Amino acid sequence: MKLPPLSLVSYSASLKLTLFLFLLFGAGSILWHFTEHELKNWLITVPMLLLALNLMTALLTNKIFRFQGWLLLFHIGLLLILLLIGISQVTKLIGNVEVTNGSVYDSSIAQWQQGVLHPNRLDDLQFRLDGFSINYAPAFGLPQRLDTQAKLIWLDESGVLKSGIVGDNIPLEIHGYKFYTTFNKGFAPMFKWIPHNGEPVQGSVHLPSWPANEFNQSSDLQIPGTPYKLWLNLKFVDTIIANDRPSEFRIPNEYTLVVRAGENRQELLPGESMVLDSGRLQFLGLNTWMGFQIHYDWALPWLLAVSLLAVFGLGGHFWHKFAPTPWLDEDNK
Amino acid sequence: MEQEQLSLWLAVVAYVIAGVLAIFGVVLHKKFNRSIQGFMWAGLMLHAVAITLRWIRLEHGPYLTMFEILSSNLFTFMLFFAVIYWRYPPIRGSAAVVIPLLFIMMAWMMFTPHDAGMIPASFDTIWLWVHIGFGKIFMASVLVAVGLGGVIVLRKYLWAEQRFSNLPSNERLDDLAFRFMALGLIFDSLMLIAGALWAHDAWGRYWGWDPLETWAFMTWLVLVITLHLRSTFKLTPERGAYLIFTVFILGFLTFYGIPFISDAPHQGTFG
Repeated sequence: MKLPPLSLVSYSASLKLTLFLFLLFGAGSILWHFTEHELKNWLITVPMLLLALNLMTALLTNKIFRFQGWLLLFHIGLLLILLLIGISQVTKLIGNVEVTNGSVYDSSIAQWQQGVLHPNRLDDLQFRLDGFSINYAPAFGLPQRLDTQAKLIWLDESGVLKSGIVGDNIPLEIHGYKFYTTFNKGFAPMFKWIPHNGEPVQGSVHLPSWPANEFNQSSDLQIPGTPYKLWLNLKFVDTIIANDRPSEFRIPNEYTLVVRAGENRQELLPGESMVLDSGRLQFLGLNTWMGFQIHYDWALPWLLAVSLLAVFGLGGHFWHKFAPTPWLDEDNK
Repeated sequence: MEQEQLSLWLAVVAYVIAGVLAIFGVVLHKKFNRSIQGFMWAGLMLHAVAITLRWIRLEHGPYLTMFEILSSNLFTFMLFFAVIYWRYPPIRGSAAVVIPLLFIMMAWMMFTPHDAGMIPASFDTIWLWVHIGFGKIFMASVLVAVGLGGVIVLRKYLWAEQRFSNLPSNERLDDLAFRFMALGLIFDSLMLIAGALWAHDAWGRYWGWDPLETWAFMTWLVLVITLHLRSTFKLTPERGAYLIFTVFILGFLTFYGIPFISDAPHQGTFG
């Protein structure tokens, strides 16, 4: 194997280059905030890759690492951190999914971004949302979200049915996928479509997130197997989340659903129907939905371990560096 | 509530007297060490009473509002410095730099609304305590380094050279300052790791480059650059001191500037 010219290796391992790359990394991190370009992640990735290269060549060529084991440990830790971040990027998955209260999680409506090497198993996961609560309390004249709790029933890795409460800092974990409750939630009108020909079907529509979209509680409903696209709007006067007292997200006591099909506009109460040419749409009532954040990253425990290893190495290095000379001289100077 | 306010005011008065005595001690070339130490510890005890009373009243620790963060940080920094002051007599003169720096925090704290805040659910984790604990030790270490660096820089001026003549040489102060910077790097690294663990539990991601995370990383990076520069190039104590100031200013702005701009102690905390 032919080695690259020595000058190139020593230049790649240079401490001056390290300092330059640190500055590049810092500049990239700041610039990252001020650009929306699709390639903006490279502002961070390129300096990290160059730092990894610089560190690797330094570890191979710099003699200081042969004599200072703790310093070597710290720098190996840093290199492993960079390596694991890279592996994490190509194997992780981040996504979100909305689940209707009382319904099972449906991977087909989940949205996610995954690394090229991620073995996607979202279809294998099964859980049901059996109710949730989100509490609020007034703070400085505005409601502030307190705790979020969701009751779930799920099938674990060995196929055993389990139930429990998750929320805030405690996610549901199945097959390495973590489902975190979020503040994202809203109302879900439920319908039954009874066609003249065929079997009735039941479903729900997730209205925009509450209270972020308090004044825009409308959505479209495509009736299955028909060209009908209806416009829905939820109307109620209840104060759900109060500014001046503790409150809990809940279904309003009284509400109507405005349904518009072309020129045909009706305000439906629970149980009422709208008759269309090919069938009847019955409004069953109001339900709720909750948004979950999905996270998968197998590299995380390793990242934590090597980070701690690196800090341990750093501590050992400084200890050995400073221990031979006292913090103050014998004459206390 | 009144006892709480009274204790806090008395604590600030004690700190201010300690700081003023430290300055007079340097200017008049007199030793007020016992008095300074006494006022620092008296202030710390009164401050501890004020924090405890508020803790009992609100049923949560001092980490939620800007007032609480300023108060608990001031307490930690003062405690850290008081221990150093007691343990290392030769560098006591640096109190004339360190305590006046803390006057800024005291003034800010007293003029910040003392209202109570609500605890977000994401704060219900042990990692919050670990994260902020490491952060406080990091900043306190850098603060002591700033005090030592401040003496080095002030010595450039003839009047100050004589005033600080009873402190160790610039080279020795520089060595000590960088020991505290090294300690700072360890605790800053641990703070970032604990913060990542907290963020992962709270928001499902360990690092999101939010403004506070970005600037916390920048502070870490500049701290690393500072230590790297010192080991790569033979920096003069004065240049080393300016680098220490840079780290402190960046750390201070990250601690207080970013949350101040984003109206929350940790942007991304409140959803």
